[in-house]
Amino acid sequence: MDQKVADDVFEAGLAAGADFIDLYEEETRNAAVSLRDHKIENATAGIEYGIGLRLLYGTDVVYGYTSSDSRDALMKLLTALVAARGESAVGTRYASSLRQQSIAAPMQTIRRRPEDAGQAAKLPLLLRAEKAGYAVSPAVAQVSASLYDSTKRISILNSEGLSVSDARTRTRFSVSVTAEKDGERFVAGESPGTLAGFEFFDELNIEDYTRTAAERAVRMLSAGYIEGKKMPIILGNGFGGVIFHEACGHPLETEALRKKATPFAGKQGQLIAHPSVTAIDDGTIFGSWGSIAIDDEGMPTEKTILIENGILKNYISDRVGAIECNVRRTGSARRESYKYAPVSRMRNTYIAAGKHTLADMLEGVSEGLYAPKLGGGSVNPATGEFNFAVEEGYRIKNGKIAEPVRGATLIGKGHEILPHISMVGNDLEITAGMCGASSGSVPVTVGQPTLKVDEMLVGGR
Amino acid sequence: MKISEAIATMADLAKASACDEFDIVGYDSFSESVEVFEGKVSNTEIQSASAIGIRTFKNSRPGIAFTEKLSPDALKICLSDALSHTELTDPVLFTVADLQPASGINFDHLSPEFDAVGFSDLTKLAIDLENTARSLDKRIENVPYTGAGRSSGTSFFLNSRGVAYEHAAQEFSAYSAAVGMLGEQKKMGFYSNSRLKFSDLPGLRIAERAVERTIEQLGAAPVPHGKYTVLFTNRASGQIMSLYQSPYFAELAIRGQSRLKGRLGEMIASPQLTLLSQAHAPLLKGSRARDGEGVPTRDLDVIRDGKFVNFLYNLEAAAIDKVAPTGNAVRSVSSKAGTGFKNLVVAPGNKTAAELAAAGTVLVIDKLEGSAGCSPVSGELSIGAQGYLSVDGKRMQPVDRITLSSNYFEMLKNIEAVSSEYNDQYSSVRVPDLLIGGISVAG
Repeated sequence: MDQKVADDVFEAGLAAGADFIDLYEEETRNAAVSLRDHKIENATAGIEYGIGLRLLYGTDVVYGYTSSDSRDALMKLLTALVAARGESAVGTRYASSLRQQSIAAPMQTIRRRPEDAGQAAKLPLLLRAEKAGYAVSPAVAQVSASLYDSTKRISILNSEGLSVSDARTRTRFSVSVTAEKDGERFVAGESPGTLAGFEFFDELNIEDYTRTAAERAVRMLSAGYIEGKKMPIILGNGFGGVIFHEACGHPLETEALRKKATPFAGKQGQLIAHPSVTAIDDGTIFGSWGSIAIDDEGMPTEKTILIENGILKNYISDRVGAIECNVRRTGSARRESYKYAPVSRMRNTYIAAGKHTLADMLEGVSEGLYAPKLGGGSVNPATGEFNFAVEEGYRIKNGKIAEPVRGATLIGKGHEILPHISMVGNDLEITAGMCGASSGSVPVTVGQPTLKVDEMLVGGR
Repeated sequence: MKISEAIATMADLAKASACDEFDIVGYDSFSESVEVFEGKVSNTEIQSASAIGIRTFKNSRPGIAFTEKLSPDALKICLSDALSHTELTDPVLFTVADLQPASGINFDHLSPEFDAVGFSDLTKLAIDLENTARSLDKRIENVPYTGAGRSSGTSFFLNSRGVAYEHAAQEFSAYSAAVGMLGEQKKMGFYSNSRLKFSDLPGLRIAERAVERTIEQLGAAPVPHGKYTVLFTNRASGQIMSLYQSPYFAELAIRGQSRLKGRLGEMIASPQLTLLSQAHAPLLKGSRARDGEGVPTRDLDVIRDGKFVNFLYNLEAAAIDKVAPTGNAVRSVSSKAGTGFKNLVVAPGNKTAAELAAAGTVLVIDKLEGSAGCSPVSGELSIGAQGYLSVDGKRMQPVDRITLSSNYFEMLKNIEAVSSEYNDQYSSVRVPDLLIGGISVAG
């Protein structure tokens, strides 16, 4: 994007009454190859391109995008947005007074660019996954796998004089294994991803991930059901962190706070969790799937302590949220693409490691559920209500892990669960995932050590 | 370059290239929306997007690529990518659709009011909705999400055998969510809907219904653990049927991921159930004359009076099973063709929902929460739910903090009745209330 064109847009927008304007130009190239039923069934690649234009009138957001970087197209968009604001303007405005900060440290080093490796380089890796999956058991009925890479190049300019750019290359392997026996089926998967180039695929132990998925699918074929009721739960490390992400992370975003749609409003400095809990949202983990050097407003990211020893320290904020909620800005503005205005979102969110072991947690539990792997879930930040699927579960009987169970669901309210996390393990792990919210789907990691929750409602049969 | 010009250009490039056959999908979309909070506009958006995707075949191998950049150079790169992908994939048994006659009905949904409605109208509606929601009941403590918008879109299809199809749609939509408090308990009720005419939106009582859904849940508590007869109201029944639509897709059966494989002609459900893929209902949102691969669509019974009578096919699955495709391919610009219902419709029964719940103890469910515990492959259902407990037709208490557990294929057989009532959503899913016995409830 031409700086002179951008300056013309800023000048015209400020003259029309906006307090702040930013332009977000993005070109993303992504490519994937997938295998299923012993065949390379799909190879696809594509280019996304556009420029998002955001006007802030205080904290009122006016947003639009175009696929052209010409002066005519951008000025036409600006005119439309100003007119829309003119028609829709109702209510008071806050003054906008934030200024740009320091240069960001890089979050990745690419040793092998995916476009140099080429799509064909993915084929032998997929065939290795297939071989490893079918080798686990005759009960493995299908192995499907895919390798995906994307390179996003962005430029962000704003009316305060900011001009930054960033490139983010992400790579991800996904494998899904279906096991079948006597008419029963179970599907299990693994999806490691990172902020790195093709070297991630070169160095990844594809066989290990595939075997893990296949063994879980076979193991869960013979799983029974658990009766539903409240009981102690031990949540496994890694993706178990999705509960914190959904039930507590989203309600800590200023996007929920500014709508007063969170149970954590006004609780900064207060004890909101068990004192053993420290939770962090960190954009600075080098090479991690959820990391960013700069956020999607151009601010360098940071490591944000959300909860420390049970006390709420910080919310997750963006420019608008920081002004409106009068909180510190945390470099957490994110968006799926130029098609969305940026809002406060998570990056790499995890509960910090504690000192307990799994054995510590099992001791004293006469009847409970051990959930080493969760599926997905959802939350309503306004009420705190959440629900999650347990992909792999085991009964706990008299302090020991017993038979596998399937089809269990965990439900509750985030702010009610936090005080009941009584033990935090020493085995922190973080896992790649995708998070969907008002600014689209963004790559995040979730994580935790193994945790013990003294009581949670388990849905079962 | 406009999308129609881009498609024509891509077609010319493809014809001149080394590919044997090709098909192209594209879209052009536009929308405007406002969101309000506490009497002021918090978000205003204008969205305009277009993209094009091409699937090429060379030596029976497919390759796909897409682009949002509609310049001649970008289209050339896109085609080149697609052709290079034909060297990676394995051969398939199908190619692009032949030119066959399709329904002559025009399924475009165009609004006579579209160009006459502007941001000031959308803003006024949204502000009115928020004010109404805040004022209806003193237990309403917040109205965090209220908005209105208009959208239009055109989808395009063209292939190397002369099949060409366009479909255009416009609509106005509005929504509101209200949060109510009773003691320490908070509940959020949400209602949204769309219509072709902006002038029809106020009559939908959007704010009133959001507030009703909030208030009716205050005081909710779990019910005792056990097996219940559940009435999935028409607010929730469509969600259940949509979550489990993939077992009816031939491509999933071929892969061994459908429990219905080999079960055509069997009674898989209660005789009360007739399930259709209804492609030619002019008023329903999903109606089309051709599917995502250009194949003519048709109305198709999937389950008739409990008997499983048809899988849904795209070109690939049809070629493998050596049958005719059913016109149920779905496709985005960036993906390979999948399968889907055109409009997922369950035929109505002859009693109202109130009549179905009139006798005995019935757990009436009108909200489902999260679907991660639902597997269309195994049929497992484990899902959070809210609603109320009914005894002999009398509403006893609102219910929350429960999970429902069952298996979809058992539920099909345990359907005791289908109501005569659909909800009023402008949608491609039309399912009446479903009364289903034997569902495990944990609370």
